[in-house]
Amino acid sequence: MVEAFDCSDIDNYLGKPMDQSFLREPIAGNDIRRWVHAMHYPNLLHFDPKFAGESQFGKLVAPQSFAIATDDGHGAGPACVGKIANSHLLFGGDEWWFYGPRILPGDTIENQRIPFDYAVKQTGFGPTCFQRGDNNYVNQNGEAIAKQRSTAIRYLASAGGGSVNEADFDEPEWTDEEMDAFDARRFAWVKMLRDLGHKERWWDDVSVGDKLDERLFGPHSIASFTTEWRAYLMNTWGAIGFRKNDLEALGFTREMAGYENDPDMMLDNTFLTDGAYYGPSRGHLFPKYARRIGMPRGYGYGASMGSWVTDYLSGWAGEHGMVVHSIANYRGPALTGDVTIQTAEVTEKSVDADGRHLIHVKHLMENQRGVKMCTGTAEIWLPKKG
Amino acid sequence: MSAPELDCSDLDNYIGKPMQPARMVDPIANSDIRRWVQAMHYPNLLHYDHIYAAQSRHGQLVAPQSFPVVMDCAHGSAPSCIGMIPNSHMLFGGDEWWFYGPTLKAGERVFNERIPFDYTVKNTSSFGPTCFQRGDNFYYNQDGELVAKQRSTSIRYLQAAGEASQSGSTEGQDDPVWTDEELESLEDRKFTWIQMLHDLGHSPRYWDTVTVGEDLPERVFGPHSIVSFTTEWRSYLFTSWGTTHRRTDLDIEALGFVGPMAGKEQDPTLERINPEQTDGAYIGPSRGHLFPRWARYIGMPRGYGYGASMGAWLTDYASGWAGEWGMVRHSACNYRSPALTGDITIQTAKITDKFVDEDGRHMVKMEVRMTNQLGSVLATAKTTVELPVRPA
Repeated sequence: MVEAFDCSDIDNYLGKPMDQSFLREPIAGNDIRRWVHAMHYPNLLHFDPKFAGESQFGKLVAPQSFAIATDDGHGAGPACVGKIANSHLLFGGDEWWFYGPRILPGDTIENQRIPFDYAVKQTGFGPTCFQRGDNNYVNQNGEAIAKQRSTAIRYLASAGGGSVNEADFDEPEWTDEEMDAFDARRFAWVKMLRDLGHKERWWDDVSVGDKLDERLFGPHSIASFTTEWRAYLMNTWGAIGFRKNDLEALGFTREMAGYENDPDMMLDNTFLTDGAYYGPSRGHLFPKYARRIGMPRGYGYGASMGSWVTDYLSGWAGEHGMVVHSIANYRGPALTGDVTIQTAEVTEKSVDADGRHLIHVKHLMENQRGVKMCTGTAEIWLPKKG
Repeated sequence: MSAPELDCSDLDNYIGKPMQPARMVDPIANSDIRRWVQAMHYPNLLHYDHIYAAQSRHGQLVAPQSFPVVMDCAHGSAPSCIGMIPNSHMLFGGDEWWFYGPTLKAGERVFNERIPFDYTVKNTSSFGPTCFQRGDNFYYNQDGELVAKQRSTSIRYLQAAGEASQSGSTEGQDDPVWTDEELESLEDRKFTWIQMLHDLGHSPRYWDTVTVGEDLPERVFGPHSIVSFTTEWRSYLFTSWGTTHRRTDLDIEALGFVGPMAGKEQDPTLERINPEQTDGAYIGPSRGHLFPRWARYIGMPRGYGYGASMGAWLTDYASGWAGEWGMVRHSACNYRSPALTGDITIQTAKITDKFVDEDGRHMVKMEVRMTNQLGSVLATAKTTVELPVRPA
């Protein structure tokens, strides 16, 4: 018998603002430091007090990717409303618009979330719902920081568990020599950051066809994925006043539903609210549960991939430029033991209606085997000489 | 073959002399406190729920007594691991704590004055000649008030002896496997101590109601995992890039750590150039905690927990029981063996004495034991707790 895949409940939510969760504390400098550290993004602007003090900002600022660290669901909230019975979720992609204001220590960030749309297509998981929702990140002055249009991929739990590739259960093993080579390759991009320093990357100096410096990081591990997880503010007890969200009502199976982020359980048996160990996110860090949802071993976070894209491009742009728009399609997650390799190519130069000088790129994220993890495009605003 | 030698003579150059300090860049933030209690498996609402904390005697979120080590750059081990011992490694051997009264809160700063204290060399069955080195940490707040003193013990031994203790055997390399049913029943057992916290709430635990010979409620947490140990690691502030004005004289190689364990963890210069190479989760003497290959290299069968966390578990256990009107005043903790991935930790204690000290404080003494599910002793502590006395 074919299991029903009924998405009609989603219609009840589209276009309607959702309940909000609120940060209980303003952003702290160390929240920003933990974030860039967890995201493998060693831009001194975001963790070193001296370098940040000498920058055009005069103090520590958050990277553009930081907005998502302030949300209670990596931006997936408005892309995962409405019941699909017996379903699981993966992150499908993100589209980001950045409006200019940066997040600073002391700021309070609010996320106004509105479910956007959905479509059902046939994929390797059978019938699959691609659902989108908007996250509008605003600071305490009412200034729009960014909009994230998140795509969730929702599919039948039974389809996921059946498609695990056992050949991928084991992590690749790296020799000490290979690790040393990774370290050297990883440092090349960091060196690019250091060489650029506080200087401008001029729009004038960039040509169509230019390739951005390769960025490599990893190998990923349970330790590094846990470090990522703990950098999202929502994953700390009491850091957020959570909305009441019934995961079983979304159609997650009982064993994956758990009490993750449940505000009532937070005050009772708090352990059960920690998504590292209980609920739908635990498969990231525990292979046993990863395999129950179609992943061969511990796997990375979609939201982190989105941040890696933003950081890669804004790190290249330097402190006088910024990413203004990006599209990222997540093809497959980082797995433990894998390294991540980012590249990009300049496809166009333009001046927009507001007179901003933009560089258009297509970007790519792969692992060491050339398996595509993420593809997309972006527009980066750079300063113009003269 | 001659007996292995452990040359500790360099240590004499450091004993009794204050060390270069390290300081946190930012003052304490509430999120630092919340992350800490979560990482330490200590769900006391006083330390992470703002409403509960506001209703407490403190009127706001406060740090637990175990928090001072979070504000140090070596969780208290710096003054007990100084001086060269060639080709050595170190484990945490214990801590003695004195608490003087002040509570740490968001916005405050902590200054740690560190002074190496002493050392002795003994033969141990695990590692042969072994140096037990002690050093003092004096934690002051920004007003100059002494918050706590920690006398930390490091166990320093030959790396080769540690590696040899694991070679030719795969015993202990695999995590124990827990069935779903066992994990379910573990949840009930874990919750009983949390329920005790809820039941006590903001009420005082009166000295008058405690009797000698009484057992404290059992506290269980775990199973530990690379995930939970990483969570612990990341709650020590020094483990994040840029959080710390670090020591400029820390040279891991000069302490005698061996090749793969002698990475430049916490090197302040390298942190500004290539900080990936300074992260102790992956590089340097601490990497064995989270990566079994390196655990075995220094004498542990698989991923293992942090000694400093064990100290915190002991403090939290006693102060959680004492409630918000009481506090741990003194605790002498011996760490026998670390928590390993897959194991659970079980804490129990017995009240051994009640007395009024010369300052008129009402005290109870307890002996605390910490074991794993096999009954192996992880740590013991003799702890003195001050409790309020029932109003006449």
